[in-house]
Formats: sequence, structure tokens, C-alpha cells
Amino acid sequence: MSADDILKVNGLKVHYDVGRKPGGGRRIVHAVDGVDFNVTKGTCFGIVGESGSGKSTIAQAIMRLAPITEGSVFLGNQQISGLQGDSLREARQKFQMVFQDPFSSLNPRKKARAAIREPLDLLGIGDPKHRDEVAEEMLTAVGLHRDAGRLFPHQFSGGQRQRLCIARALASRPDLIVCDEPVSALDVAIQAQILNLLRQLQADMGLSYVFISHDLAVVQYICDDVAVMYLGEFVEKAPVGKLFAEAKHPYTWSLMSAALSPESERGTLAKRPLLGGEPPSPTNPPPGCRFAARCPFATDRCRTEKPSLRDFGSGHRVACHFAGELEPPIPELKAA
Amino acid sequence: MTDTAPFLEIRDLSVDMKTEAGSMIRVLDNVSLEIRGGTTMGIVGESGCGKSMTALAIMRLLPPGFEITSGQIVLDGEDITKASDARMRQLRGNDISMIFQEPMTSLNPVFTVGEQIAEAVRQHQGLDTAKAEQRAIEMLKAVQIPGAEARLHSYPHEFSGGMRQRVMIAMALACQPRLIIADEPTTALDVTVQAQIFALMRELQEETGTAIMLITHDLGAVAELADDVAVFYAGWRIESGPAASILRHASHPYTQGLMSCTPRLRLGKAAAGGAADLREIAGMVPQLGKMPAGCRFAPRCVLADDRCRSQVPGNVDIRKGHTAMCWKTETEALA
Repeated sequence: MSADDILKVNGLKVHYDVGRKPGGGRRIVHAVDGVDFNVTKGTCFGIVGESGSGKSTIAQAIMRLAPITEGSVFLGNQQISGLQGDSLREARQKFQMVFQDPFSSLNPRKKARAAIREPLDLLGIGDPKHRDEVAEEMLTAVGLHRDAGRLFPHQFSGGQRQRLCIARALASRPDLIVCDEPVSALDVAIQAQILNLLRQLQADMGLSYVFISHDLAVVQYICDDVAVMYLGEFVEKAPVGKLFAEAKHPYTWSLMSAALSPESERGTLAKRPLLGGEPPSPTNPPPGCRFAARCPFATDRCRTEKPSLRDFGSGHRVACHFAGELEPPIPELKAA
Repeated sequence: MTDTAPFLEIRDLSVDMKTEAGSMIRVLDNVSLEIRGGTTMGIVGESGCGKSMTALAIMRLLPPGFEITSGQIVLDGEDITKASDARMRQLRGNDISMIFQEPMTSLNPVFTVGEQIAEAVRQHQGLDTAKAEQRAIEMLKAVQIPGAEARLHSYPHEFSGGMRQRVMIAMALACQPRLIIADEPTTALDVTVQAQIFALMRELQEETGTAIMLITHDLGAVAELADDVAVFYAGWRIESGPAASILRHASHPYTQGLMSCTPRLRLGKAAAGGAADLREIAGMVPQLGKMPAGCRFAPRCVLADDRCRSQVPGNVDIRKGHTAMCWKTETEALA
């Protein structure tokens, strides 16, 4: 943990009580089950995983939109996991969020400028004239016309709406923006525009991002560090170059195997080892490695003993008993 | 393969939409397509380009206010633009069926999946209840749902997203249709589940010889499944041809743009250099009813000149079976 870290997440757990279990006890959904990570100032930390892995719950927990069961979240030197009421509201100036669906995350009855101004209004930053100026400045920063503030959300396309959401997140000059699948709902041409915009804003304003995505190629494009998540836990975490060059966890391999590119030969998937089945329920996570039930390499040890995140040097950590001993089923990785 | 007669042939199809003011707006403009039996045609394009409209026109399920204004849709020799509603009901399910994007909203939540699959075969093939149920079990097995006999009596909410999409595929295949239209069948699914569904679709196609029309915005999906590709832009089919030819030698600047703005995964040694910059296609798709004169892509095209902005380009042959609708392609091919 260095002084350059803008965000520190320690032992974060988010559990939901979903009612009584037949035969006594409570049913607890282990949405996030003990994750640690730091985000270095000016970098992008990616969390990749499938639906239900808990990646969005991490985003919500950082934003204090999901209840934190255990663990702490520090933004700079301030512990934001314990804040309440006014102090939480004040702190929110420094961390903002961009959601997946730009259609449902903008109020249809608010003009664009009012939407971008809203964080400033709520936080009481500057006078109304200043806020309008900031709104116009943010509109141009995200590549929209400064007069676009007079329009309603329905008058914008999906990509433009996502730009509005980014402008709104930028308005209070945050240090950190949490992006939850910000390009998943967009067409590929628009996705590239938004990814490039996020990169450029990061360079211009020194922003830090937590970037949640299910798309490995997108994560590779925009992130500096990546964590792969499965059923509430990180199974592998590494600097982006390291992860894609030397991935060591069988789950990471299976995500890589399932990825398709326009250059793939027809029928490529048939030649690749594909993951069968689906993730088990986070309500009663299995005792050993949570991936064991679907892992082609699993042994009895995996099914009973929980692997810890082991260090493989240069920040590369893998939670697998056999990491480093297994032969990757992906030809490109073998060469490394 | 090329000598196989097309199973579905769309000739110069146009679809218009009636606006509130009563005027007509063209949403699909003179589109032609051919799908050969047993092959997969990938239809690619951004939202609003007319991909789904083409599918709905084939099914004759266009929403109210939309109508086919010209052209033919020839299914195995029969022009179905003129078919009666009764004939269409026969064709749908029996000869053509559809897999929709969102498996949760396209299954009925109050019937078991067994009842829903059985309904399709009872309606279309006149099987009795017991035989229909037998068929439903066979189909659930075919789409590799474990414990088919027991799962028959489950409701859609008891299935995961991937399993629901398998049920949708089982329903679509139950009457052994000769054409399946799959509209973004895996967009709502995770990559590992998408891979399973694609593998299943390929396997079933090999067994049944059904033709597939795959509507997608994902060029990776096209590379994996398609024999042929048609690229749509703003209601036009702007490029078409064999998948390998299009993906390796994209000719239309729009198709080239789509290729270059798709992020690629780089693994192993290739990962060390970091990801290459994504080139983006500037601007966005023109609004319906506000189409530019000339080529509809011209306002976003880096190659566009005055001719592009004033005259509609024709289809130019690039190579065997591969055409592009672009003024610039012609000059480049000649050069």
C-alpha cells in the first residue's frame, strides 16, 4: 500500500440475508466475500467476471449503494466505508459513478444541463451561474456541443447519453470514477468512442477509474490492473500486461478461450476447451475452491481446501492450489 | 456449396414506416439477400440499421404501421410477401422459426417449458398431447439440458439465462424448421455461456441441415458461425459476400470501420505491447427520415467526396460473390 493509492479496499464483504432456510438458520447470499485491492492514482483498475460474480456489487459497495458487511474502503486517507449522512454526502464529491444503461440512469424530465449540474446543486458547490458554466465545460469535455444542455435525454442517442452520464460524473471534479459496464449497452462503433473518451479524460484530468466489465478485450484496452472475479472472490489479479501474457488461473483461461475475434477461423470454439455448466449459487458457496465444480483440473484437495491468493511476483496473484504447475490450454500462453 | 439453390431469397425488399403525421419513412431500402440451405448468414450492423426489420419482414411480423412496400421474399420458391395469414401461420414454426434476444421476456412465465415446447408441435404438427410431450423431452435433450424429463415441468424462472436460451432454441427447433432466424441470441448471456450456445447451434445445424440467419453486432460471432455475411447501414445492405472474404478483405469503409473499432484480445507475447489504439467511426447513424443525399454513410466517411454526397452508389463486385455499395471501392478496385 503506497501513498499513490487513491482507493484502498480491504477485506470487503457484502452479504445479503435473504430469509429463513428450511430447517433452521438464515440464507445468506455471499455477493462479495473478502476482496482486497488498491487503485493507484491516475490508473484504471478493472474487475472482470460473469454475471452474478459480484463485480457490480463491489462497485456499489464502494459508492456506498450496497451495505458493507465487513471490511473497509479508503479514498485517499478518508475511510468512506464508515461515513454516514452529511459527511458521506460531502465525501461523494470525490467519487462518482457511471452506470451501464444510459437510458435508465438519466431523469427523462431533466434537461441535460440540469442533470450535469445536479451533483453541484446537491453538494452546494459554487453559485448557480458557476454551476451552469461547469455544466457547459463538462459538455464540451465529453465531446458534446455546449448548447446541448438545453435538450432532454430523449433527444440524445445512446452514445451521447453515456457522454452525458460521464459529464455528470465529472462535474464535481472527483478523484475516482466507478464505471459499471459503461460500454456494454452500446454499439461497437460507439463503444470505441466512449472508451477513447474515458482514456483521454483520464490523461487530461488525472482521473482514476474502477472499471467493471465482462469483456476481456475491453478490459485489456482500458485497464492498468485487472482482477478476475468468480462467485464473490478474486481468483486472479495482475497488472494488465502480466495477466494477458501469463494468466495462471483455469477460470481466467476459460474466459480467454470463450472470447471471439473477427479474425477467428470459423468453428474456432469447437477446437477450444470450453467451460461446461454454470456458476453455483452464491447462497451456499462450496467449501473449497469455488471454481472446483467446473474446473477441468480440480482434485479432491480443491473441493475441500480453499486456495489463497498466492504471489507470483510483480503483483501477480493467483488463487489456485496448482497455479504455475498446470499447462494452459491456450497456445498463445504456452509460449510465454 | 455455391450451386445449392438459395432456400431464402430476398429481392429488393423495402419496408416503410408510417409516421404520426401520415407520411411514410423508408426503414429498409431495396435490400437483397440469399441464404442457402444448411448455411448460416450473418447480418451485421448497428442498432436501427434494419437488421431486425428484415427478420420481422420475413416472419411477416412487422409492428403496426410498418409495411412491405416493394420486393419479394422467396422461401423455397414461394413468394411469402403475398402469402395469406393462414399460410403464414403454417410457415411460422414449421418452416421458419425465430430465437429472440431476451429469453426471459420471450418465454411465458405461467406455463412450464414442457408445455411451451409441446404447444409448438401440437399447433404446427398436429401431434397429440402424449406425443408432443415426448417430442418436448427429445428437444430438451437435444439442447443438452440435464435431466430433461424432470425439467419438462419447470417454469422459465427456474432456469438460468443460458438454460432459458437453450429452451428457446429447443422451441425453435421442435418442428424441424428449415430456417431459423436468431436475433442477437447471446447478447444477454455471459461469454462462457455464449460459447456453449454457439457450439450447440453449430452442432444442431450439422445434424438437421437447417439454415440460420444470425443477426448480431458482434463480428467475432460472425467469424465463428457464418458462411456468408451481409452488412447493413441505415436501411441499406452496404456489403455482402462470403464471411471469410468480408472479414479479411472488408471493402466498404463502414465495414472497415467496424473491424477497426472492435477491441481484440491479445494473449501471450502479443499482450506485452499493450492494446493498439481503437480507431473510432466518428459521428453516428443518421436519423430515420433525415437520410443524407447520396451515400448514407458519407457524413461519417473519411473517403467521401462530392459524388458520395450527391449520388447513391451502386453495388460493385469486389471478388466472387462479394459486393460493396460504395463509390470509392470501385475506383480502388480499378486502380
